[in-house]
Amino acid sequence: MRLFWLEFKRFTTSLAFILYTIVTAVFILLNVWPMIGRGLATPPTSPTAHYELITTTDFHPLKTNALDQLQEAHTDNAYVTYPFGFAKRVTLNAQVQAKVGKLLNQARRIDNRPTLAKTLGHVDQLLGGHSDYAPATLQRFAVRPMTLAEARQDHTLIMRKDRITGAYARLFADIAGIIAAILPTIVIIAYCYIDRRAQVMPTIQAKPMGTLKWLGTQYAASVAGLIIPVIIAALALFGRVTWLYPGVALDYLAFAKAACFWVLPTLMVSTAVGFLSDALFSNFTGFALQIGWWLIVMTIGARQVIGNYGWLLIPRHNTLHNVAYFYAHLSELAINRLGYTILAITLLILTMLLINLQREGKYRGLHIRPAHH
Amino acid sequence: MVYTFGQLTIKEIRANEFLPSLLTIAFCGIIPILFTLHPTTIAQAALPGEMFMPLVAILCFGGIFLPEQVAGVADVLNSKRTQLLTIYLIRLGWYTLLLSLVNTLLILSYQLPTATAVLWFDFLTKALFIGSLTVFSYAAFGSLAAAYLIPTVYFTLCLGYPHLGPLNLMVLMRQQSWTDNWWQLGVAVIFLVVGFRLLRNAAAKS
Repeated sequence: MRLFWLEFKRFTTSLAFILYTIVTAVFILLNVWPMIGRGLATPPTSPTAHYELITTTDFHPLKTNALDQLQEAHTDNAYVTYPFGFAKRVTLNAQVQAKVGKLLNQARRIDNRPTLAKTLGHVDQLLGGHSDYAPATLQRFAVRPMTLAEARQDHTLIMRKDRITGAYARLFADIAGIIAAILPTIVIIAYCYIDRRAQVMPTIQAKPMGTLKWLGTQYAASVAGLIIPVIIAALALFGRVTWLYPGVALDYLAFAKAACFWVLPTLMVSTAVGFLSDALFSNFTGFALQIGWWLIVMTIGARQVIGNYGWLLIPRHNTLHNVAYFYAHLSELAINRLGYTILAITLLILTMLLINLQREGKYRGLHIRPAHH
Repeated sequence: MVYTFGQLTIKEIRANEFLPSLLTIAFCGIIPILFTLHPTTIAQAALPGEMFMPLVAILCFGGIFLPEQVAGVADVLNSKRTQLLTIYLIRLGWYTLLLSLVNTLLILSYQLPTATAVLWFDFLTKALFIGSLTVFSYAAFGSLAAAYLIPTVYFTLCLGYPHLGPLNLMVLMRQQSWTDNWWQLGVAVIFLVVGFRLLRNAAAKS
């Protein structure tokens, strides 16, 4: 425990950590603070108002939206696929175009979801995969504005299940996840670099201490430090919500749950990537890998920000609404978070093996830039 | 032995920037996999230059301060005829050139002659803006972490924060006027001038 506190103190007094704390807290507050208002407790009444988007389970909007888009793409022979999340234009030859046209006509006559998914799945295959017509992503077409009845149902869920704070905590977790997936990697690489710069690595590696204890303590102390600005932002936002909703029954643990169960696994992974890339490259080269992963996840998530969990490192829920979707997919989100916690531990074990090799003098890192041992 | 500026540049690039430059080119090699090389709109054409190249720029420009991180080396170098500041300028120039080359190849592959100049100016501005922010962050805080952290946070803010005005890097992607790039270029010049002044002052004090 003493080693943990020594590491924690050393880590949290570093300039990198202080900068990280400031920029992370400011980033979260800049993005979430303006979204917090008094309006969430007011029930919707206007039948003509334009309500927020939801992901619906209805077959009709899904079919209409999907076939409208496919028709347009077919007419222009300009389809879009998303390999690694980035949009790419696909042009088909006459033979494949004709096949897509035939499938489009077939799809128009379909009146049930599994058959539509199967038919559009064939379109996806003809496009080379990664399109919106793949069965796994077809749900994205089922997004539309809420009706008054749905807005009332959404409001009921916000008041009864979310108890106001839950809705804001989801938005907070969405934004905090974006920054927690990238900045900890930089901070950790910079932190590890201090030891290399001071040329104390041989001394540290020769200490009579197991790698598990050494790395495990360093990792735990880093994660404990890196979550601090997330908690600071959560407290500030919670304070604002309680100020704006006096006398309303709030979920006082909503922000804490969002920080620990939603943001923490993302932060654990990016921290583990920092340690692993330091062990692998001994410098900032590993940051390129994390930034590549982060950008891909961000672009995949950006295709449906109002509720998109799946296997994303940064699960997206960039809305105060779409509450029914959140509760219907809560188990999916839980499996996602558990999966990334396991991945973080796996990356840490991999780092430990590399450090063991270094301590035995069998591995000295892939040096793309000058490294200091 | 006294080297000319040209000889020094070649030696410096060969010694410290050759492998990172190859890595940069390899990293940029995934552009054709990630993005379309046959865009139909300027917004689509701007995606790699505004979404991907700023991140490559963070990696490149953040690295210009790496080789002298060993304690005391900076002081030794500053006592020599060629100051460390000159070395930084050479590296900054080299990476600006390298990224411009990648941008040029990318834009030429688009075959969009009417948009070539606008895209080229836009992409160059992104690299310079991020590069100058990296230099300024390092100079202001004297920390490598700052050189990577601050530009990354700024880029992330550009993705979703709506109040950056003409300083939002996603100009053409969001169908803003290309002239916003003049603001970004102006700020980049200020960051570079202030950043290098701070570095010079720090070198003089050490």
